[in-house]
Amino acid sequence: MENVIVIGIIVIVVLIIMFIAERNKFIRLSNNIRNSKSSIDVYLKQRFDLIPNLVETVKGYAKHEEQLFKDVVEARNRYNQTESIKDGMETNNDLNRVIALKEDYPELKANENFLDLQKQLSKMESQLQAARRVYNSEVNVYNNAVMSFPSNLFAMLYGYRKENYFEAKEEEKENVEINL
Amino acid sequence: MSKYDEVYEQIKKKYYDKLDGENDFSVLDSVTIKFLIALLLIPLVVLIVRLVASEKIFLEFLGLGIIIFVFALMSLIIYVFMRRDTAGKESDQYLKFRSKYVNTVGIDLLNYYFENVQFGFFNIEEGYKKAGFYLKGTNDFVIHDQWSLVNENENTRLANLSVGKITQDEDGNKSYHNLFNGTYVEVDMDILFDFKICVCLNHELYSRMDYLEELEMDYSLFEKFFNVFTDDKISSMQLINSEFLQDITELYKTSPCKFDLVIDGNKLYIRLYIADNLFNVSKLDPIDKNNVIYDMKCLETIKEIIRLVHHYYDTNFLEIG
Repeated sequence: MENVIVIGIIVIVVLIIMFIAERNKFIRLSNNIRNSKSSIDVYLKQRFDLIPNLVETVKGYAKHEEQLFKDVVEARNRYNQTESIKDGMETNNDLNRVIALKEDYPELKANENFLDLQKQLSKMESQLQAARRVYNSEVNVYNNAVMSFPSNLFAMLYGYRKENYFEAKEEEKENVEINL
Repeated sequence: MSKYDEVYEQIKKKYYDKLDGENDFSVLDSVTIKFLIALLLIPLVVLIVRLVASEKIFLEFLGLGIIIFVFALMSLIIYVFMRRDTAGKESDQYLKFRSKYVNTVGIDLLNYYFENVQFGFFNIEEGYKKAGFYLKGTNDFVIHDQWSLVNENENTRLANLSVGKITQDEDGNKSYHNLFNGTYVEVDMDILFDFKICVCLNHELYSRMDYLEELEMDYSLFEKFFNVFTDDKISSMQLINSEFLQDITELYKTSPCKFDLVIDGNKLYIRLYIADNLFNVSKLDPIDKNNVIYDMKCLETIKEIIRLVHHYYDTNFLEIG
């Protein structure tokens, strides 16, 4: 009888430890995702802080692109309010369209301020790409835990659901046409 | 003629000339060897034929035992009376030649790929530990350093290593476990990374390091061979972009030996897993072409790793500002 009680206690203790360990694991994994998302936000914000300067520089050369400048400023303001990745990537898209204006307005390429801004933005774009890949990597690890047995049982118990990967939109996947 | 053939022919010519063209290291001359082989083969063939036809297997095997005994006795007699007078001297010459090979042919091969390499000593244990190749929490390591080389600027250092762990059981009996055998390389790069990244084969090794986190890569073939641990995931992803992943995976597939690498600050540490060690010399053939080509390909692997790290630093960090 005593043996049964001892075994019972051991089993209960082991189960408690398992529950705690799995809970901590999911907390850690979802924090990793949050952390990588905030890195994306940081890089996006750093990029978008250059938008006013960029628009001012390009305006003087590309007088007929008012709508584009308006779009990018509005997109930035929207992102500042929502801070959603979706709005962030839309703003990033518009920003890349502004930079691509150098192909339509070659005089821009000689502007030092523009070149300097372009260099800074390229550096940030590279960091942003890396941050997106890290985000997807964290989501992959998390989703594997949520979907694999037996940790999926704990995921259901604690209310953890699958996360979405960061995917490029269709227009981002298209090749940019360069007019030479 | 491929570059491997060219280098091999140069080495062969250079070192056989040093031995005045002598390349026969056998103790007995070739006629005697052929006679001994015939002496053994003919009765063996007869025995096999008789075994197939006979029912008295025990007697046939007894006959085989007698033949082997007679053969051993005759070999001993032939060895004593037919041994070449110069055999001892050739054996000494061969041993001197062999040590010359490790000393100079190995350096010749290294100088083909690196600049002005010579024998030198450096603190292997310090670098090996700093790279993280030691298992955390294990203190009793033994490093057997067979030779070490440095180049003129001392910014590239190589050593043939055997690393093991000594464990002691309850009765005080010590046992040795081999952990790594091969070539260890340290490179002082002219670039500085402000993070540490380990591209390694042994998952267990780095998972014990608290400050390094595992980073899953988005290339399944790479993930099949390597694990990546780092203290800065974003910078590591920046360095290890998709092209880098493909190049390093391709190198791993084509290289004759496995490898792993660590980048820490301005230092690059590489380990090549080579069972027989670099510049190993076979006793049967002083300069075995396959060994020379193997050594060259291993050195090319080291060179290519260094080039890839520099190239992707330039592309992914430097050129973008």
